Amino acid sequence: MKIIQSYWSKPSLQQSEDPNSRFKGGWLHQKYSFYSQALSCLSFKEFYADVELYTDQKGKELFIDALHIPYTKTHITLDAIDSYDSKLWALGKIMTYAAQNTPFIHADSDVYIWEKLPEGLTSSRLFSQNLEINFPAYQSALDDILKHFDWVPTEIINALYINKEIHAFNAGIIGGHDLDFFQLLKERVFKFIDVNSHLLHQIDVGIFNTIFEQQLGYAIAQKKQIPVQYYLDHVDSDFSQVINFHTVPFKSKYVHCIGYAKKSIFACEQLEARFKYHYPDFYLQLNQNLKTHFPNDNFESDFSNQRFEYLFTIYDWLNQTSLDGIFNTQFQLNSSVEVLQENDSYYLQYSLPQNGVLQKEELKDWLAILLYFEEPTTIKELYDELCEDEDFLKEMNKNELKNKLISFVMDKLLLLEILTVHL
Amino acid sequence: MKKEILKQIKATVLSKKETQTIVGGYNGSFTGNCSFIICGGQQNTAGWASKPGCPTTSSGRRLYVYRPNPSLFCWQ
Repeated sequence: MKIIQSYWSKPSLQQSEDPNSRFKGGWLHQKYSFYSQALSCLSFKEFYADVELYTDQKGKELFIDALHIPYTKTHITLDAIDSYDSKLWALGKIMTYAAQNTPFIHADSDVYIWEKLPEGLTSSRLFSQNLEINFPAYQSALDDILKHFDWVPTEIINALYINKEIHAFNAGIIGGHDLDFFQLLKERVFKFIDVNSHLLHQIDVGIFNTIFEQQLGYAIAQKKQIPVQYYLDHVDSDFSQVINFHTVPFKSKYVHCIGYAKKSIFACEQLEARFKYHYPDFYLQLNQNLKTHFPNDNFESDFSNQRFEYLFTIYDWLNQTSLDGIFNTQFQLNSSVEVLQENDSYYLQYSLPQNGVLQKEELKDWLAILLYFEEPTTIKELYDELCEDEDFLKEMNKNELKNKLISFVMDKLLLLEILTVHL
Repeated sequence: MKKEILKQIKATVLSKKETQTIVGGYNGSFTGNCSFIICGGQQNTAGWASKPGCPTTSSGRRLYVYRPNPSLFCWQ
């Protein structure tokens, strides 16, 4: 099965203040979009022989000629949509799906994997990352579309009528062998856009992309009675289940740095650290190429060498440690973290390891668990005490609790350095 | 001490979502003349949206005025 990725340069190069645009790829800084493209390509190449890029001439000059991102093949196809509004960033994906004449897996350039995708999934007729039901983004933009547009595909109207709620699929990964579906999707998307092109200024064009790709795609599959297989069973609208950098690789084998996570300094740091850790030579080479290609830009890392060394020590440990090993390891509050008591409340005061900014947070809800780590404590000890309460376990599956506790501790260890571990 | 903490957290572990530092998604980009981004993580300590006339909450989350300045994302 071949992997395909797409890059339409126009959205990335067009200045925009819309957080759902793809200016700078949607990332905090332009350089992270390059790191992401590289890490995504390289991580898929670990498991698939063919990783091909569909792009336009500018994209080819940038990613292939200048930055030497090692795609196995490059197709220059997306200049054909150069006349379209740059805010329609998903159009390059739609074009690329429809250009396929053999089964494929399309992966967004903000998706990284640590294991091969399941064969049962990728050999199916149609698959995508996950189902989205009534995710908050769609409603308002859809209201405007229904109010202002001259024409809306009947598949969308019928699906709304049948489902009584908004159904869509997330296309972080998408593919299959029903190539006719992707041809039809392209036809319907272009009609949706072309008929209403004079009305785009009246709607949220950033979200319109998710509507014409993900909602319309789902509605067409529903009308054609095409079963959709999903990689993930349940994903919340904050996509926390797919942005688990902190549980790679012992639990998370797939990260999709979706939407506003690209604006998070934590996600950008983990992207750069993972890229530098897994592919140190290419990281150096890419930065050198970036300096040559963009001589006026700064490509110095936003993060200290000390911070990278800390992360790489943890990554080394995680590579060699099982879930049970983590479960039985002692963690403790970092000595630089202060626990303050004010009136009847506890607060945690610490500096962010990414930039030194002082944080003060009330220790309530899940954060109160951190008090338990004033002394060296294993997650198992905490888990065992919680499990002693039979009433508690009536509401919480033991395995679910274990996974949540591990995720919580690793988040505070890796991303915030609130907790430490003695290795 | 530990027992006290456990008593405190048991109920909240059940009722609240685990706090994660990185969250994502898409929640709309423009409402009227307001441009905003939502940072859903409890740890994000950005200033509240303060643009006159702009909404400050949506679906129980905090809304922040979005500025295309990298140093101002998510906390400030």
